[in-house]
Formats: sequence, structure tokens, C-alpha cells
Amino acid sequence: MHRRLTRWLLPFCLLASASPLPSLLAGEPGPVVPLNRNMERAVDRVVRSLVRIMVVAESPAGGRLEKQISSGSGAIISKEGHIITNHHVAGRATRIICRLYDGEEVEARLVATDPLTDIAIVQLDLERRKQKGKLSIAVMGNSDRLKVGDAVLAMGCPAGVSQSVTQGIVSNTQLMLPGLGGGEFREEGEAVGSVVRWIGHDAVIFPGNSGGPLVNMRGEIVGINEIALASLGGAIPSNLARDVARQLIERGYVQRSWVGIECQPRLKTSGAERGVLIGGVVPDSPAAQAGLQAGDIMIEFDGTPVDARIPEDLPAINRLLLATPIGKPVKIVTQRGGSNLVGTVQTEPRGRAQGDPVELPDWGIVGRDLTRLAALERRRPDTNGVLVISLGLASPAANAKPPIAAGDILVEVAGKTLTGVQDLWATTESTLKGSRERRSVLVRFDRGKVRYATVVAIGPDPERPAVEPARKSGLSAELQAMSPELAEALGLKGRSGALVTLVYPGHAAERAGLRQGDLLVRLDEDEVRCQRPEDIEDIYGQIRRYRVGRELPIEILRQGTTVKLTLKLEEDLATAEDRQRYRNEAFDLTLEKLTELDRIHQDLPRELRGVRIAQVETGGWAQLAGLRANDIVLAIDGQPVAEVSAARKALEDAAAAKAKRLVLFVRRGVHTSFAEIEPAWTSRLPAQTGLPSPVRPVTITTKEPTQP
Amino acid sequence: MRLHSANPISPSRPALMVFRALVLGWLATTLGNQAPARAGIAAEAMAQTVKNQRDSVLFFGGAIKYRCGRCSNDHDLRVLSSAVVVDRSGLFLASRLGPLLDPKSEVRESHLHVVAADGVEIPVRLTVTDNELGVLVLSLEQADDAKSHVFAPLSLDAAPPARLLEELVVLRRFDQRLGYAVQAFTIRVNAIEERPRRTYFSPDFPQQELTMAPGFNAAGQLVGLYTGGENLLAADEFAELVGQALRKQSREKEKP
Repeated sequence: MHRRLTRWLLPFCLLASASPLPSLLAGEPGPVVPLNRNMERAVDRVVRSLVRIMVVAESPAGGRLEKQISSGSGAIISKEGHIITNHHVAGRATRIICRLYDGEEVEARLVATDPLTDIAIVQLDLERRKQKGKLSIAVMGNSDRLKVGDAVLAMGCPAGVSQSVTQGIVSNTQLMLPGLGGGEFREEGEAVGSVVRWIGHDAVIFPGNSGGPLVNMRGEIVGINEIALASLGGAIPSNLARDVARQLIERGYVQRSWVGIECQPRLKTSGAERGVLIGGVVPDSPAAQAGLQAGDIMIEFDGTPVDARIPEDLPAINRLLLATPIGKPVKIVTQRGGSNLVGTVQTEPRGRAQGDPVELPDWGIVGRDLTRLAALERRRPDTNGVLVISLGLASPAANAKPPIAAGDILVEVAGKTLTGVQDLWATTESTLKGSRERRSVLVRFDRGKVRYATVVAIGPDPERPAVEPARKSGLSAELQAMSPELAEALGLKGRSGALVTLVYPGHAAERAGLRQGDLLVRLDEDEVRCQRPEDIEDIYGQIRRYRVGRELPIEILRQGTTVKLTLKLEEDLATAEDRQRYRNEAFDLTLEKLTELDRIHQDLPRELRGVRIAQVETGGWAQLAGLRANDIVLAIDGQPVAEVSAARKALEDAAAAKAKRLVLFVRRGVHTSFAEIEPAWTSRLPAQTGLPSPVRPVTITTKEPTQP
Repeated sequence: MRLHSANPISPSRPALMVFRALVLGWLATTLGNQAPARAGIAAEAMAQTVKNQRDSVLFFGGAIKYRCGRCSNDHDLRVLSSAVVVDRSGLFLASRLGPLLDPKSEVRESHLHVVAADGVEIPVRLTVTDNELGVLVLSLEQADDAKSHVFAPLSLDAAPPARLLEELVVLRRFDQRLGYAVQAFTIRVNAIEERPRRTYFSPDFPQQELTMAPGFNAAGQLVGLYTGGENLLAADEFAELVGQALRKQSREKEKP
């Protein structure tokens, strides 16, 4: 989530926020009030609506959607609990937890997102809110009225800390990122800089501020913080953000039209004094059909004069083009070779740059639908097929012959033409019919213009016997090398040997009479030379060569006296016990039997019964509940779990019942605590990739641009 | 170190053949120049060893998905290596795969195969890992493959000891780009360590690759197995591990 911010953030410097700013409200009506009271009032009007957003998001890697946890900021903008934030904060979220100003944590859902403007809307699950008081709602102000030098406040949760405020001034009202040409800052394939000119400001922001409001001294949101460039922050203007937010809430998407022209500023060598250069016309687009050509200078679009001399002029033109109603015949006036040409084009729905990534585990790939724009980019005649964006090296797809690779487009499976991801999912289901066995299917895929055929054995990985560690003899004690310096300090100058640092209680070494603090000086008649830490491995290695059950003569030095012992070797505890590993996909954790070695190293009482957490998945329910690897689960929902089998049954029963909560009693070190897992049970089926159905209209509290 | 012999390259696409020829030629020239002829195993004896032992050394490839002990996500690992046959039933020893040395690593999924002497890819799976020796034991995914292919096992027991400065012939396999050709080279033992295990050191191993490569003396007897680093571990050090893997295989066969 912080990728963009991190990329642009250079070492930040603290702002001198204590010094008063004169003529803060220059030009504003009303009495001049002291700065601190203004600031206090502005902070007061917004800070209670600030939200820290913790997000579990998924991104494609190695043929799967990997979970990541990150945090950002947002502000509540409706009484229904809608929160405005960045797409790069919450647009890929699978789980969202919002921390409100009063500290309460409330689940939220992603309502809709717009990568092109980097705006997303999430909504609090008010049913699950414990504090039932009124929500504090921030007011959206008029960003067009901002001037360079105006005082602003950046509010948010930098680095995931609680709600914080920094102060600065507007540095630039039409910030564009240098070197990016207004078109290279991409989210989900969309060029954010093509429609957004940021409000540059010097209020300190940090990763985690993303999605947080930029506030004027009247306590109105005038921007949504998004990027940082050294000490300069960049916020999406509130007028643009408000319009996008309203559409996202009311429609579930932002309606945009398209005619198929690509604009750029006029060339320096151009003789034209106004207009925007048409850099390209998409083949078969409405503009192409109307006869527009690359090199034409467009001077009027739908009755509005257009002019782009520099890159900063482009976002407004792009917004004009995109905001034209769909299906509207639009008059376009262009200049070509000194003559004015007038044409009419009918706008079409623009759609998204690319589809959502969907994991297809039976193939070991992540694929996405081809949108119209994506199909055009790839010179494809239609949007049929599934674009492979990621695959695992050990996946069925990568091990087909010939193998499928990222960038390929699957067009046919088992004789069926694929329309998209949903189709591939359904074909996979109908081929496997719930079988755990792999099934081979004929697949045709395109790589550029070449169409290949291959056979892929799809399905889950076959269950195989576990990989066992080699069984070896062990000392049942632990040793430390004795350096010459240590030997001298211990009064053993000139002696060599290994210090016994731990003797496993109840095991061979203890039975042989070995004690902590002994110095092992001979092993199987050989002198023990062990001065460096790496020498220890040689001793363990020597013991591993002997067979279990062998009686090994050893000689130790104990309080100046040489003692001879016989050690009957037993199997190394590290490999002696079956780990009994169990992974639960629903709660995202892996459990293991509590081994003898765990007990010895963690000094666990013999009577303690439980299972060790071997792994917790990033962003999984177990991790969100605060569980960690090496925690010992003592009980689940009040029932003791002495064995992995008992824990497995408890977890599987809870998953089958779709339990709302699961309480684990765990031990961490010498402490015990309760962890509450609160899963949200959702289907693994991919969501429909069509446009979502509209939701009921809501009111965004706002000061419209026309208001004084 | 000299390149001595390679399998006849099966004719396929001309471009691939040209590529193979260029790489083999380059290797022969470069390596030959680096290590001019020196007294040691006679070329004839070496050629005989290569001929006798080549079928015991197989290409081992594929990919695994694994989760290391401290990782919270799975990772993929491409395998391009060699394995040696240690039992007629289809048991193989391969060099460690770095991430699997972590005893807490868990293999989630694997697509592994060896290429038998007859050129056929045969699916295998991991069965036992030995972190101390740095090796993996592989067995056939389908036990029936042992009936349709001949596996020529190396004899690990009673390996003759090598002497200081003795020259050994080491074999391994190229990958499919070079037609799975056998690569043979000589090394000279420049140190011997007896404890904890008999180990022969030589700076002649190429680039400390993690691959399994057996070393033979002038009489063509197996001396040890190269598993990575700069050392060759005496062959009999692996016998116990192979025995354990065979016992595991028997137990699995007995299961219904």
C-alpha cells in the first residue's frame, strides 16, 4: 500500500509547526482570529472523523494471491459510515478493520474503488459497532479556492500510529510528478496522473498518511493525501475526490466515456497557437471511425475549447473527455494542414484498464479478464480469454509441456472457448467434479500471435507421504566450545574440551550421569578439541555417525576431577518425534505437536498439555487475533487441547459451523492470554467482474464549489 | 580440470544443436586451457569409467513450492541438478536444495523428475532429507516406473579411501539444453578430513554448485559423493541414510 509513498519519500524533515503564520486567512471574509484558535477549530471539526484503516490486501505472486497487512488513513464522510481513502490503501482489500477516533475497532467493507483517481470508499459495519453514538462526519470543501500559501493541515495515521495532525502551506495547486509525464503513475493499469493534478503541500506526511484528509483552516477537507515527493506531499483535490466518491457510493463505479484519442501538449515546433495535439487514435475506436488522425490539433470538444501547451494542462482535458455522457454524439473540431475539420463521434463506455486478479489454485496461476482496453493494447479482436499474470514454478500450468508462462492468454480448455475467469473457474469445477485427483486437459493459449496447444494436469497437489528427516543419534545434551581465554578464566588453562550447557532431563546423557557445567574432554577415546563455536558441530557430527544404542565411553572433568561415564546413545530428539503437523486453511494457521525438545527449551512443565503454533499466515484470522508462531494453544473455546488431533477437531468443527468467534487460550513464554478469532466466512469463488449493482444514494456532507 | 566426454547429442532443432555444440566447445576449450594436461588418470581409464558409470548419474529437475520455517508465504524453487541412483527400485540421492536445509521448511508442492538413462522423464518425490550430509533422498512417484526403466545403482558400501593428491573422475549431467549430456571432469584431492566424517577437499569443483556428483578413482571405483561446497564425502557415509530410506519405502509399500 505504501509503495507509491515509499518510492517518492526522501528523508523527511519536521515542520516548524509552532511558529504562527501571518495572514493565514487572507482574502477570507469575517474577523481575523488568532491562528491557534483557527487551527484548533479546524482540527476539531475533522479529527473525530479520522480513521486508521488496517487492511489485509492480496497481490499476485508465484501463482497465488499473497496476503499483506498494511495501514492507511481515511475520513468518515457520511452518516452511513462511508469512509473516503485511497485506492492504493483499500482498493485491493479483502479485510478491513477501522480504528475510530475513540479507539474502537470496527470491521468495514470495500464499497467500490477507482484506480484512475486512486480513490476508494469503504463502509463501516455499523451493526458491529459497540459505541452506538453518532458518527462524526467530515465536511468536503472546495479545492478550487485553494491558493499557494494557504495554510493546511495533513491529518491521518502515519506509520499506523493513532490519529495525528501536521501543519503546512499549499506549495503548488497543480502538482505533477516530474519525469512521469502525467501518465506513468499507474494503479491497476490506470495512469493516475492523466486525470489528477495534485495539491502540493509541505505538511509532513509519511507512509500511513495515504488516504487521509488535507484540511483547510475552516476544517473542510480540500484534498486526499496520496503521494510524497521529498518533503512535499501531494493530495487529490477534494472537488475531484468528492465527485468520484459520490459515484462510487451511488453506482459502485465511476461512469466514464471514451472516444479513442490520446492527447498530448502541442509540440514546441507546432505553429498552432491553441488546441491539444492528438498523439494517437485507437484503431476501430469512435475517433478512428470519424476520421481523426494522429497529428491533428483538437481545438474544441463537445463545444468546449481545449488547449494544452504543457503537461499540466492535460488532466483537465482528459477529465472533460472522460466525463462526457456515454452514447452522446460529440462534435470535435480539429485542425489539419491549416484547415479546420469538424466531425462527430459517439462516445462509448470506457470500462477499466484491467480486470481483477483471481487465483486459480487448481492451475497454480493468477489470471484476470481482458477488458476492452487490455484487449486493444494486446491487439486482440475481442475480450475472450484469461490473461495469466502470475504462476508458480511448481504449479500444474508451469509444468505442462510446453509450459504456460506469465503473459500468455488461455483461450480454450477441454474444447471450450473461454470468455473469461468465471468461465475458466466453472470449466475447472466441472472437469474436476470435486475430485482430489489431477485431470489432464487440453489447453490452447496465445503468446503474442502464436497459438500453442498443451496438456495441463489440473487439480490439487496429490497427497504424498511426508518427507522425513534422517534419523540420527544424538547426545541428549548441548555443548559450548571452550576458547583458551575461557579456559583460563575457568581455571582450566591449557585444557581443551567442550562445556556441557544443558542436559536433557530424563534422557541418555542424564542417565549416564552427565551434568550441566561438566567439561567433556574425551569422546570414544578421542580427545575433544573444541575451541571455536563451529567445532561444536564436529562433535555432534561425530555422534551422529554412531548407531542408536551404542555405548559410548566419555570422559569429563568435574570440579577438577576426571570422571569416566558410559553414554548409551539414543535418537536425536530433533528427529525422534513425529511432528504431527496440521494446517488449517480456514483460520490460517499451522499447528504442531508439542515435542520433548520444545518442552526442554521452553522449560515447560511436564504436566502442561497443548499444541504449538508452527506458523500463522500473513493477514489471516489467526494473525489478526494476535496469535504468533511458537505460541502454545492450551484450549479452544474452553476445551483443553492436549493433542493436534483435538485441536484439529475443534478448528474443523468451528469452521463447519461458521463460528462467529473462536477463543483460544494460549501460553507465550511464562504468560497466558486469550485470543479472540473473529472470522468472516466468505466464498472462495471469484466475484463477478461485471459492474456492481447500484446502492442507495447517500449524502456526502459538502461545501459545493459554488458556495462562498 | 578437463572436460572429457559427453553423450551423443540427439538431433533435434538445428538452432539447439548449434547452441549445444558452441557451449560444449567453449567448455572444452576454456577448461582445457585453464588446466593443461597433467599426470593422473590415463585418458583411456577415464573414458572407461565414464562409460561404465554414466547410467548411474541422472539429471534431476523440476520445481518445488516450499514454506521456510520463518516465512509467512510460500516460495518457489527451480531445480536443475544431478542425482545418483542408489537402489535398483528407483531410489536416488540428490544434493541439498538450499531452503530445505532449514528443518522447519515444509514442502508444499513439488514437480520433480529425473531423466533416466533412456532419456525419459520420470516423476520423483522427496522422501528423506539429511541436513547434516546435505542430501535429499528421492523415490519414484510411481513404483511401476522401476519395471519399465533400468536403474544402475552405485555401490556405496566399502568405498576405497582416496589419497592426498590422488586424481578422481567426477561425473554429473547437463540439463536439457545440452541434451542431458554427461559432464566429466577430474579433481585432485588436496586435503582429507577424517572427523566427523571422511571428507576430501579439492578446489577443482566448479563454482561450488549444489549438485550431486560421484567421484571415482583410477580403477573406476566410487570414492565419494560431491554434494556442494568444495568437498567430496566418502561414499560409505551415505549407506546408513539409504538404508533408512529403503526401510521407509518398505513401510509405505506395506500400507494398504
